[in-house]
Amino acid sequence: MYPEFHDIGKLVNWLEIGLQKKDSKGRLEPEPHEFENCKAPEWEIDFKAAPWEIIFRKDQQLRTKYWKGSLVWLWVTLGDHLAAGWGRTIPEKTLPGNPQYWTYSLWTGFQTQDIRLKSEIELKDLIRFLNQSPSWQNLVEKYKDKLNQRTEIARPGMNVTTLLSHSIIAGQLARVVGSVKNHEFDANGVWRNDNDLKAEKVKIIVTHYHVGFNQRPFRIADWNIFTQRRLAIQEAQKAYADNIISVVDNEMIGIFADEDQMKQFEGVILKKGFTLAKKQNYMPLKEKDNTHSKGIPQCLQEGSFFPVYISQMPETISLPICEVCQMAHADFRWPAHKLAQRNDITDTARRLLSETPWKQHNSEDFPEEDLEKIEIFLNEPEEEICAECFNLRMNATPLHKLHNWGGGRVAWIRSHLDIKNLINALTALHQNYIRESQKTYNPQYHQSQLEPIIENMQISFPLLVDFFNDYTNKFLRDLKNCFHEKFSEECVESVDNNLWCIHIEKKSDAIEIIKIFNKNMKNHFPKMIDITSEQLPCPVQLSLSLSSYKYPFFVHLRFLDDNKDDISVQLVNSGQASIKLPHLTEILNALPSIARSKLHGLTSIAQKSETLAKIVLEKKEKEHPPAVLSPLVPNKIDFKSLLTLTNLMED
Amino acid sequence: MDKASLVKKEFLKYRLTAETLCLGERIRGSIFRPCLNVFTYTALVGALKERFPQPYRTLHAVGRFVKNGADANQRQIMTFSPRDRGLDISIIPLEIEFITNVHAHIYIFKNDFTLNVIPKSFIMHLGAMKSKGFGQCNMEYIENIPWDIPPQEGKLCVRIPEEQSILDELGIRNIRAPVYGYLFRPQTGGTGYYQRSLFEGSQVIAHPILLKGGEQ
Repeated sequence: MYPEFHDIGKLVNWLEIGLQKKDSKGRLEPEPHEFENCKAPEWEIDFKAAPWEIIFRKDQQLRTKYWKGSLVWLWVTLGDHLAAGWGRTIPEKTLPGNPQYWTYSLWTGFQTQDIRLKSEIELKDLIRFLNQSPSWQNLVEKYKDKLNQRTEIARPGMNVTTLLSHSIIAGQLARVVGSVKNHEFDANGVWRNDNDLKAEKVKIIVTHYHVGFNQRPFRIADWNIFTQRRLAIQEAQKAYADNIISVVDNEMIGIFADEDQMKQFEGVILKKGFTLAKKQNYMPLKEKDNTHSKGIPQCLQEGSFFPVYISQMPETISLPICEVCQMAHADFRWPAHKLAQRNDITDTARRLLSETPWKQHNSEDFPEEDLEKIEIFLNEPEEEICAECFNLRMNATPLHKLHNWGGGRVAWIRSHLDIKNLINALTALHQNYIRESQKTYNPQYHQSQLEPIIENMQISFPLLVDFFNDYTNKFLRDLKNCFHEKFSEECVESVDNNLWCIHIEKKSDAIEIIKIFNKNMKNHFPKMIDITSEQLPCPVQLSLSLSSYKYPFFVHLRFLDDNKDDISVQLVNSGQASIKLPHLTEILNALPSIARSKLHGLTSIAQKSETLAKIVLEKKEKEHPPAVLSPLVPNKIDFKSLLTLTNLMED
Repeated sequence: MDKASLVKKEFLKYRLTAETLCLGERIRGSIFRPCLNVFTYTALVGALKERFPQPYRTLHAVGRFVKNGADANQRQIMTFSPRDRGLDISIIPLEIEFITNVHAHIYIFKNDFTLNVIPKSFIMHLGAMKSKGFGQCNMEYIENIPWDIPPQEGKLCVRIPEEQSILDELGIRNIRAPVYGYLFRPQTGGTGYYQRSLFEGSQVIAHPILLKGGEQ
């Protein structure tokens, strides 16, 4: 079943084709996007083709005639409502105005074109295509641009979600809802057992996962853990294609029909040696037309993350414990057991590696033909590790570039997307957009009527998905390309989709990295920057940690994982800086004209009293203009952070 | 009746100060030894038992770092190159993370042993790299903290073995969502085992001194 087809009629410009009529008062009747004006034989709809059961889900006559007893229509309706969320609960007259069929992007401020099918020929072509019962993928191939540009809800202010994302999410939700056990609907979609409904017994589970690892990647051999994690996430997403409704970085958002299904999915990730932290909420499944008190984004905002364990952990572990994860008994010795598994060494070498303690190995003991393959490992310390950590290391794809640099300076960079902040930011942007749209398209509509309606508004989940797609497929891709362009591909190691290590020549290259981030933020999320404030932190954040090549990666990772501000910078042994995105451009522009020597004294004073430092600064700059620092510190950046940034400027 | 039960249930609160402290994770072969930012029950009890060696007496203690100015509890890294005395060469250098200017509060469960044996002021050695001068801690008694104050729900800020007697004495009433890890429990003869333990971040109902932000 492809519930994704349910809104396919929205690709058609029914007015232009002449199938959307006006009433006696000259008002347009509702858009007939459920093909209700195409049921006559001349339109040649083959009702036996699978998509039509989904498209004509609201037509009781046709349901009785062609799909009697089937509950597909109900699953599709529920999936559609769950996906659309709050927007579907607002009556048409509440946000009046002419329909806007294009999609407005809340984070860029750009809008798409209205490229719907405008002719009868195109409509008939669509009908013929649907009559062939195509797969959803086939349909996307044919109409992807149109699906991406047409909005799901065309009311002014609500045209912010693409039809493509809405259709996909509604499809996934419908299939999961259809697999809920114990449902007691009759053929008309009415609950048989009213008590279950009242008790909200039937519900789907909304989960938010962080996929992590127990391993502490201290050594190059362990850094492939990021790639392994990405592959594990992809594999799990493929296996649970309906349940995993979104993946961004190392976070997964899932919906499950029951706990068993959820636990099976969790087992897939945990068995691969990764950890899961989960936030879980229940969404009661109500009758087909009921509005939901909270949507998926709201479920994602409630509660806290807690670890998920595959089964009861053993009460005790005998020695030795795995040195990497410290969560299981160590059955393997690294690198002895790794080398012993090689096919290209002799049995003698294999036996020696398996049986002799590592410290007692001597290169002279090994057959000459094996020495070349083994010798470089003999100086490594031995580690005792568990089966899971051993398997993860065995699948290692070495980070060649990083290994080859051998020395110099490196900058570790991580772009982080905070989903909670994102929901808050998108809600604020959507509220602003509704206000502006109503002002433009419906001037007589009074602000006081609008505010109570949008005060508690909830964004739809497909809107988040649209953002995730832009973040992953455009923003992160462009960020990486800019790094390649600026520092050359050889100097950029991609550890994960959002984690890079760059070999830099001078400290000031870190400023270039921040500039690249700033440029891409302005290109991709300009509206996000506009609304960022203390109360609404930017959901896209950058962490940058700079040191010599040899500095422990673990310390960098700890800093990169702990986002403190929109932009967090660490210059190892020289300080840290926190920067707010809206002030970034101004600070970057001012940096070349700031003398570090001026800041040292002020930073010392600020450690005792920031107000005193401000007074001293203002006095100094009043006596010796121009005022370079006082417009910035301490209101836009603190003294210590600015000092760290000026340190970066001086190579 | 057990003599200990006659003592009113309380915690003895001590101020711990030290120049350096290395609460190293137990990683033997690695080249980097990170420092924990929480106290483990096992390290504290081990250090106290070493200082006041009465192996058959019960002793429970937990601790938490406290803010004391901008310079308190700062992390630093030292490169240390151990020598192989047999071959008289330096082996692979080890990078050790440690905390400087340490300020913490330690809570020792009061019983007749801890009340009578542990003085108001003493020095103990805690953590790793003690032979290199790390972990010399000055302990100063501050006050008694009542044990039977209403428990609160929150996130644990220490690491405690999941052993009922320990959890009871330390005032952990309910474990809502555990974050598990393993702590080393020594046994006689230089050996030991790892015991399943509640790590920081576990959601529990417990005495406020065990919870993040719970200290009065």
